[in-house]
Amino acid sequence: MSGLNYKQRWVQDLPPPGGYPKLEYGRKIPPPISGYWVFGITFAIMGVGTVIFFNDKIERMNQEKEEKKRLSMILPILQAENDINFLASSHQNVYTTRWMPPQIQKRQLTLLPKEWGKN
Amino acid sequence: MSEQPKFQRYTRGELITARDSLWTVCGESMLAFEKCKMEKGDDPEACLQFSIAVMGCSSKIMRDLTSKCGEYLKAGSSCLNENNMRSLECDKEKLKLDECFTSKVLPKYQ
Repeated sequence: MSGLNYKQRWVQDLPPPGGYPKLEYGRKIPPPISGYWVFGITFAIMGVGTVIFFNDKIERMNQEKEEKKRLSMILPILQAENDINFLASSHQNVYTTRWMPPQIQKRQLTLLPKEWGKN
Repeated sequence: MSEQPKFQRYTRGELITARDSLWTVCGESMLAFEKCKMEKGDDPEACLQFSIAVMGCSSKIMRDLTSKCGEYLKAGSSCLNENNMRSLECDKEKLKLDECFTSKVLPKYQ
């Protein structure tokens, strides 16, 4: 009973003099990047990528050219070998019309008419 | 069916590795063969003598290379096999083979 003093007058809580500071209830966002900057950065990245891609492509094409050149150096040998093998095997003379590369393997050879080999 | 002529068959890797060696000796015959092909068409019978010359020369060179520079030839062809037949990756092996060719095989043909 000793803690309560019923004779004290009630005091109401009031705001401090001058009022409370304003509440910051609005959304806070950093200042936006300008659209020109976004366009600029995008096109710069695309431009650099395009330059890298086309440089690489030119290099790859040159490499391909070199590979083809090197491969073409052995083509006479392959062609000559193919010609000799073809003439030595049994074949029908089709050169009155146009040349066709020999495309017959051993397995298909058994299906061919036998009179071709007699020429 | 008549018998096929028995050439020693060389792989594409071996031939590409030895391309410069082959052209050093057989270049003229190969050019003559291609010239004949261009003039007379693709009929194999028309250019038979040239194709025999090309095959004879190239198989001679390849035989010598196999016997005298076999290890380099093998290294070059296995490098090509490993690199998906891209010869640009195998210049080192090819140079070694060329050196061996000039020192051991070429003097025979000069």
